[in-house]
Amino acid sequence: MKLAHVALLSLLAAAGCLDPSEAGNLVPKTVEEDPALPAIEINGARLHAETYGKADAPVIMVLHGGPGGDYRGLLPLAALADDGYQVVFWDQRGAGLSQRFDASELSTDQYLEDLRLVVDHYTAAGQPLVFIGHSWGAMYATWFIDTYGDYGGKIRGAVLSEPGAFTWDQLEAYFKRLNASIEIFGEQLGDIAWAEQFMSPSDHARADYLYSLRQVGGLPADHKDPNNPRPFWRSGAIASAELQAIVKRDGFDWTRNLAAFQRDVVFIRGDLNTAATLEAQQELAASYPHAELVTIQGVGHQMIWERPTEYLADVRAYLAKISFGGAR
Amino acid sequence: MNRLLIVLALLLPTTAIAQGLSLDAPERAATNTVELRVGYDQAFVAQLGYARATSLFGHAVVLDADVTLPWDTLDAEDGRVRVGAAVSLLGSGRWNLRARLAPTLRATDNVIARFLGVGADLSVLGGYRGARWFIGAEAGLDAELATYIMPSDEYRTRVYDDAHEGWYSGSGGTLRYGLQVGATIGGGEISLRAGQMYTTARTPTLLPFFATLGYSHHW
Repeated sequence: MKLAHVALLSLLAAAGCLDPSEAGNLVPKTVEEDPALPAIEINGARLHAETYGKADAPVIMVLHGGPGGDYRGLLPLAALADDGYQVVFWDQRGAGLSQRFDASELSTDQYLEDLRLVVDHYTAAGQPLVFIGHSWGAMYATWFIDTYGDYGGKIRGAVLSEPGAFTWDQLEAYFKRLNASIEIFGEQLGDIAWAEQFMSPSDHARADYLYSLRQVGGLPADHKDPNNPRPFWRSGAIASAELQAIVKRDGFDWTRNLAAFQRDVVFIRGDLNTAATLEAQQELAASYPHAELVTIQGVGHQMIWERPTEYLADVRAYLAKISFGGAR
Repeated sequence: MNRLLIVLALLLPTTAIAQGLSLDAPERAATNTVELRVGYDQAFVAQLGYARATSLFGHAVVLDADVTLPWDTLDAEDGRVRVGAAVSLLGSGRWNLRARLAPTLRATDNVIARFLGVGADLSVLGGYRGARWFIGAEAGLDAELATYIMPSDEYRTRVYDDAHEGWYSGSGGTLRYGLQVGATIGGGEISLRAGQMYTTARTPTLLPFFATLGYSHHW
C-alpha cells in the first residue's frame, strides 16, 4: 500500500505536479530555507528577527499574537525608531518565518527562555526595555514579568493590547466569548471544514497553509476592517495548537507575582472587540498594581495595523509618562 | 442561496434508497435506487445519489453516482461528485461485507484559493439485514490524489504574493469509521450513518464526526 502510494506520488511528480510540502509553493520559506531573511540564533532555534533604530537606543520589543502569529501586521510600530528607540521585531519559535519544530519538541519553559534570551540578545547592561505585546504577545510579556519582575531593572514598562487572559479560567472565558461569535452554520466554518478533504496537515507547510484559511477569515469577535485587513507572513499551526494544548493540560496563572511589579503599564483596547471586552480588560489590568486602560473607538483587535496613528499616539503618551525617552 | 437549495431539496423525490454502499449483496440489491441524504459530512450537506445493480464481466456489481452540495458554504464552486462501483467481498445469508471504490471530483472556493480535486474513496461496509431493518459498520479512506490550487487575490495580497498556482500531488484526505442503521418505512428505507472522521495526518477534522440521515427508494 505504501509502495503504491509512493509510486503514485512519483507518477504525479513526474507529471509535473507541485509538492504541497515544499516551502515556497503555498507558503513562504522560513529562515531555515531562505538564508537571506534576517535572523538570530537563540536557544537552539533560528528566529526571524529585525530591528529598526540604533542598537544602543532604549529598546521597544514587539511581541506578536497567536500563539503562532507573526509580526508583519505590527510593523507600523517601526515608526517608533524615529523617536530614538531601537524597535525589535521577532517571530516566535515555530511561528511566522521562524524555524519550525514538531509538537513534541515544544514546551512552555522553552518559550519563556526564548524571550529571556531575546531580551538579553538586544539589550546591553543598563539598556532599558519596554514591551509592546499584542494579544497573545501581551500574555507572553505578562508571563515574563510575572516570572522575572523588572528583570534587574531592565524592564521599564509594558504596552499590553488586548491580552486574552492571565490565568486558565480567564482564558476559558475568553475562548467562550470568541467562539460565541462564530456562526455554526456560517460560510467561514463550512469553508474550513470542507477544505479538509483537499489537504491534510501532514507537515508544517500544509498545516500552516490550512491554518491560514482561519487566519485570513479571522474571528468575527475581532471585528477586523474588511477594507484594511492585517497582513501576515505565515501561520505557525503546530506551535499554536501545541501551546494551547499545553496550557489546557497544565493550566497557568501568570498573576502570582505581578503585585511586585511597580512599573506603570498601559492596556490599549479597541471598543469593537467583543471578546476582549472592557470588563475583561479591566479585570486583567487589575492584576497589575499600576495599570491604566485606554480605549480606541471604532476599531477591533487589529488596531495596530488598522489605526496606527492613534495607537502610536497612545504609546508615545505612555512612554512620555514613564519617562522612557528615545536616544535622539 | 441557502434557502433556494432547501427548496430544491424539498422538491426532490421523496422516495429513495441506498446508494452504492447499501448493505445488500449486489446480486440481491434492487435494480434501481435513488437516495437523498442530509446532515453533516465535512459540511452541512445535501446529497442525491443513484445506484443500479447490474452485471459487469460476469460479476454482480452496484454502480452508483452521487452529488453532494454543502449548503452552509454554497457558492458556484463548492461540491463533490462521485461515481462508484461496489462488489460483495463476503456474504452468508443475511450477513454481507461489501467494498466500494468511488473516483471523486470535488471543488471549493474560499478566501485563500480555489481548489479542484481529483481523488478516490475506498470504503467497506459490513453488517446484517433483518426483514425490515439493517445494521452495519463502515470504514473508509477518501484520498485526494491531485488538486489544482489557484491562490486567491486576497491570499496573494495579505499573505504570500508568490504562492504557486498549479496541480499539487497527494495533498491529503480523510479517514472515517462508523455505523449505519436503517429501517423499511412504507415503500422506502430510512437510514442513519454516523461516525468519526480524521484527516490522513491522523488529526481530528474540525468537527470530528459525520452524521447523515437518508431516505431511499428502490424499484
